Amino acid sequence: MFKKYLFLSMVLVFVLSSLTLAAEQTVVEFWHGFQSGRVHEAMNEMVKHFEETHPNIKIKQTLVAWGKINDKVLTSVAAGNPPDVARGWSANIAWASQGALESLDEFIKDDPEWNPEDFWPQAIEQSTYEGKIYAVSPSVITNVMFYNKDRFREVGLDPEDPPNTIEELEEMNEKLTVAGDNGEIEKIGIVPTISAIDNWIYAFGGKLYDHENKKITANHPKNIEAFKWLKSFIDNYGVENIQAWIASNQSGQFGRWNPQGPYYTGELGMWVIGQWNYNDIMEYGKDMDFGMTYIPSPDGWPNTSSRLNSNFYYMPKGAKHPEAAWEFLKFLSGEYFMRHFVATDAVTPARKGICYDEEFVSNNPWIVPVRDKLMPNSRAIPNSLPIINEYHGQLNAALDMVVFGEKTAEEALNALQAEMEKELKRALE
Amino acid sequence: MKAFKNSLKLLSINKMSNEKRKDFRNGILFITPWLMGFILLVLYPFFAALYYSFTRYNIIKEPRWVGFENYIELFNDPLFWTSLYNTFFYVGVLLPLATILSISIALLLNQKVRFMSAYRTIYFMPVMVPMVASSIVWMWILNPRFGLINGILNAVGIKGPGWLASPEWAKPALVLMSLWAMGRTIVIYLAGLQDIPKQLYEAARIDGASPLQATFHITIPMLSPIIFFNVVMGLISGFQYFTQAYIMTGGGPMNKTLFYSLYLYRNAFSNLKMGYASAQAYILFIIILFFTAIVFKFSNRWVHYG
Repeated sequence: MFKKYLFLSMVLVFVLSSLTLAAEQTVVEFWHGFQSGRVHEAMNEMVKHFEETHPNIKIKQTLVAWGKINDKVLTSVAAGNPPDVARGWSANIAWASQGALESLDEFIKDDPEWNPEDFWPQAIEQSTYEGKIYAVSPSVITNVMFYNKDRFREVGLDPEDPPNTIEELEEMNEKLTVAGDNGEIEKIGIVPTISAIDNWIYAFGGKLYDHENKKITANHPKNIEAFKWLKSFIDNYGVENIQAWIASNQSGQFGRWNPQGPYYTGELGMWVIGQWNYNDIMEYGKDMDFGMTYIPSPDGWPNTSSRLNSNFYYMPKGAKHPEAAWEFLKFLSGEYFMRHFVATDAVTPARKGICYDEEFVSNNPWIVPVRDKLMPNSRAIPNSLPIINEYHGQLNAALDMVVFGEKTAEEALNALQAEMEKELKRALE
Repeated sequence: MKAFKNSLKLLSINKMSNEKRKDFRNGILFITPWLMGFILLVLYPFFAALYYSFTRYNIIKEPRWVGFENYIELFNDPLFWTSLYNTFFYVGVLLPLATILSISIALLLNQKVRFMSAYRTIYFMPVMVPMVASSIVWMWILNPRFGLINGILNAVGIKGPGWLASPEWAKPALVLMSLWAMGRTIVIYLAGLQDIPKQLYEAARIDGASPLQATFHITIPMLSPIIFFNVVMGLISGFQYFTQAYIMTGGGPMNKTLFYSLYLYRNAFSNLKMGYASAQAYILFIIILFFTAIVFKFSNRWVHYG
């Protein structure tokens, strides 16, 4: 008898306590991939700070490998059991057209604290699909050109005067390149095709998509020009030699986390990559003297532009606690988070104001060239295009065709244009 | 056909005695876990994919019926033909090479030499390496500048190709790697070789047959059921070739290693065209069925069941 009462009372206590807990606290499911190291700890700190300032919300973090997070969120949406908030990239905006994201417009409308005008316009552009905002951005990444000053000195170039135009880039490349008798490349100035191809498309003034007229612009005359330049650049050294260099060095993202990687040994003089590479250099290329500049273009500064990509936090379709999730999303795109978390990764805070803040600038000196020379000209990748993945993939295949001489730049890009127009029409049906 | 009718007869539960019925029930119970797995994880997806192949489906939105549109579009898709060609090339080059080579190696490993078990182990070892790991290792072996193969070629004064980076050499490089991992077929051939009765060779020797004659008139015919089995299995796995290409080349350069399954995977999980990918899967299914049927049809001409 006693046992029975004890059991019943325990059940009662359990039910009551969980009821009161539920009344007090909403649990927000949060999926991200900051699994280890300084970013992992920093994220824990951020969550702790959020919970202290929002006692009625509890954050349940689930760690998902970066390579798997998109698939997992997508299948959880399909299964009707998604997290409330997930971390992603601007490419996730393509899900808006498929109905996998909750629109944030309702929350933004009623919230005086969150104002799109406070952000870099490119970040807002990337999180918008058909006029509605579907994600918040903590940070944006522009692509920049890093160059090895030591290597510049070795060959008698002025380390404070990196190339401004394509012509200068070619001249300096010539000096920085060392090839064996059989054409095998030992050292090289720049290998433009190891960077995302749209970098060069934007630098040449081309574009992939015309937002105003909603038209694919794969065969834009400037795109063709960029492809022609890439082809002629590679032909100077022989496509086999360049491809062999790439295949020999590409493991581990070209040795990004390896002090013996080509970025840090002088084997590569200049490279175009996301600004986050700054932190890698600080860690793995400690002894190297390096500079950071904008991407050279045919006419040089200021007629250049680089590729910009935003990081995202978003609410998947069917999130169970939208109000609490919005509170958290606001925090993740707020000043505190940007000052303390975003800066650990050498990426640009999505709120423009912070980039001009004295304290932030003195702690993060790299922001000045990024802010002044890169951001004004950066172009957002048109990721809201539902076919953007395929588009990028086929753009690379088209460049392969051109580089190996299978097709001319016009042929390859005209074919791509037709193909992508067809795909886009199909996707929007 | 007769066997099928017999098994149907076995299933007519009404006519069974009580004891037999009990056995039948217990039998079904015992295989239930497998049966559930088979129905849920194989049979259901198999038919679901058939349904999806007639729809537009991106996982999130409800599938929309489009009839044969996916199939029609596939036949107009240049990448579909590229991937089909690449896959046929791979199977067409690999299968004959692999068959000849693995039989030859099995014959060698069947000799009575010292350290034979060590040799056998060595040839089988690649099979035990996980595919992903061996792919990474092979990326280094094939590395144009620092790789083992080009290192050897360099030493004899040949400038090796770019292998995975070269449109001409990428597919042959992958074939080469698959040849390295033939251990499983070799072991099956070896087992088959040891099943051949010794007296056949003795009789042949008394009749004055040379070892070469014995190989072609005794060993190969006696081995033919095993060859048949390995060819069919090789056909099936060759058409589904995926992992190595996915890891090592991702389909490049110039789509020269975009194999059928890789393109299918890309459409399904990267481009989110599940319906389209399902149609691709069914075409692959029909292709494999067709080629397996052909091999079966002509098997009576060359397969001898001793």
